[in-house]
Amino acid sequence: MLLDVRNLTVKLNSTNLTINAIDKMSLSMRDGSIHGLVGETGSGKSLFAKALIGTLSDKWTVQADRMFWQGEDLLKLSTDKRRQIINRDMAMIFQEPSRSLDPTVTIGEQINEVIPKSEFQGSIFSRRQERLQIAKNLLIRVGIKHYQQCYDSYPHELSEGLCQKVMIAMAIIRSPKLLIADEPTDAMESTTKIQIMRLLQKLNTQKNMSVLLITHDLESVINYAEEMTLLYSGQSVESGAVKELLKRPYHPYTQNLFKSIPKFNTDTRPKSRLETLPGSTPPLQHLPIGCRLGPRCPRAQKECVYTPKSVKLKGHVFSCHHPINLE
Amino acid sequence: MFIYLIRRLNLLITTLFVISIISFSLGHLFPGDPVINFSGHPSLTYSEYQTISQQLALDKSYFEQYLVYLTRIFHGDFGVSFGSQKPIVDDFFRVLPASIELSFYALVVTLVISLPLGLWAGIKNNTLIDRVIFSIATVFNSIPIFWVGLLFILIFTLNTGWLPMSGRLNLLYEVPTITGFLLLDIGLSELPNKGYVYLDALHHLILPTITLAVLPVTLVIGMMRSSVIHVMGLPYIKAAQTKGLSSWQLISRHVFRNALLPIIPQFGLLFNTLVTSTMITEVIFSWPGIGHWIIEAIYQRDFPAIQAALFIVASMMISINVLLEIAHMLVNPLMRKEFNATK
Repeated sequence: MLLDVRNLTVKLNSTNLTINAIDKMSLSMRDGSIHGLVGETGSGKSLFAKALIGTLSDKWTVQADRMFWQGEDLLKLSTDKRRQIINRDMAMIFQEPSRSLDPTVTIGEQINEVIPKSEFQGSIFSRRQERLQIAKNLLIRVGIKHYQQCYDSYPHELSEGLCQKVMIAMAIIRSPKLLIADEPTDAMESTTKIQIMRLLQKLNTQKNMSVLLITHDLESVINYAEEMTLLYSGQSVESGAVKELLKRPYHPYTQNLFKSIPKFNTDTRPKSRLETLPGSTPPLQHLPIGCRLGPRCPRAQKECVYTPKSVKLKGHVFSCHHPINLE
Repeated sequence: MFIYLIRRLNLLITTLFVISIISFSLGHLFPGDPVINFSGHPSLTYSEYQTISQQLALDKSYFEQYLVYLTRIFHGDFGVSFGSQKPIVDDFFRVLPASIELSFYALVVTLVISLPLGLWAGIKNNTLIDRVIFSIATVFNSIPIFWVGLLFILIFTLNTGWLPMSGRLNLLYEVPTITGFLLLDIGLSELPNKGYVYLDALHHLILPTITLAVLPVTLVIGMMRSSVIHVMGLPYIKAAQTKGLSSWQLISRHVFRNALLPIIPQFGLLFNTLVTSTMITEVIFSWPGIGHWIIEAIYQRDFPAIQAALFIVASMMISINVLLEIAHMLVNPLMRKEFNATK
């Protein structure tokens, strides 16, 4: 097991109340897999990534029963030690790549500063040449043809897709074990989207780099990921292998989500409405108690005011008092 | 880029034009005879009066007078001073180096003190350090500069006697004027005890420099602090944190640069406060610079000197501002982006 998070709670501390933005969420990842983390906007996907990589500001507190990274509990380590492990093993790419690059420094310099010292073989005098060579190889590896031009450019002179490729290049230089991709193809055109996703897939197979793919784009998860975790309003809903989940979801929310995409829902008649749950996701200051899906769930009953325990069944993990497809 | 330069140049020329009109009209608006105000000779015989009046075209229309005035300015002829009866330009350039020297040191002190402090306060936002730095800056920002100067004199000269009160150098030493910049002149001179002279000159420099630097330091701390706070919240800093940079690398490579660039154009405003403060400081510490000279001119109703000083100082300020803007454009890639986008 590469990553094993149990009952992670991320609290937002404001002056007069505390909100559990993520409430007892669990996620586990196998070594070398692509794992999709899916949820609606505001369900806490990005928050989870930030909590994992440790870039949350002081306003947030992170608690968990355990947060194991290759058998080591990250939350029990000192801040420095944790930073060290995270910097060595994890890298992250962001949803707005052009805003995630320093606008006043050229791409080349930004790549240069993340090249670890261990990459250099030659003496200190040939380092300049070597840096240039490493950076160029990287840019070629992520599929940038005009690497020299890209090397000399400022971020605002490149397209979003190119910026994202540069971000990926900077992430893979340290050959991390886990790449967290936080909506990597958000607001990109479909050809660029496919390029980026293929690149991630290639890195996954060739370098054995695990990818945590955070997205609300269910289609790309189904195409590229092997396992997925569904998140609703900060609570984990269901997780398991993508194919299994598609075939037989146990949680009403999972089923509904798949039904909302016409491609996976074969019995949609022409011009009929797509199926969605009534209502909308609750805002953080008015979260329902117990199962947060409760007020919108078609199968909700009395017990749903208590938070359901996660149940493990045939490779799925789900949290529901009244699961479906169980007969 | 070329169009941008033309635009800035256009701004420069237009402003200089307006200033020259104001300066020209002062000659007529000052009490007394325009012929005397423009030329600077207080007592003229009738024939002299006639020749000068014709030379300056003062018997013709205002427009022709203005043209003649412009040609004179281009030749560097601002008339003579009432007080010294020497050409004003000579007087001006005699006192200018002292002011430049003082302002330059104050500027250096300002940057050396305020940029790190502002950066520190911004990074440690909402902690004790931030509050302490920012409150001290606010307090000093609110204190009038002449009062600070007098306070310094009281503490460091009258009470303790550590530092001299006024002037640039002890009267014991006589340094020949070559460039006008005292520290350079000492180096160029052939005095036997250069070390002592340097020490004395530096002693004299300390109080005026600090007094002059107080206001700009507080301003830059404020600017830098808010700029750093803004930059620290931007996504690329968060992204850089995940790239495995140490916090020192992060701050020196990304935060400092990005926080500094947007406040460069505001340094122009800093220059404006610096020049006005220089005048006050020079009077307090009897520093023989421009400010001292202008204030003397005002006391003595030396109209040609006031007129010329207004024109020269204002032109210098505008040129510096325009140059700063061009420099900012050259060092900040984001400016070039905006420029390309709006053309």
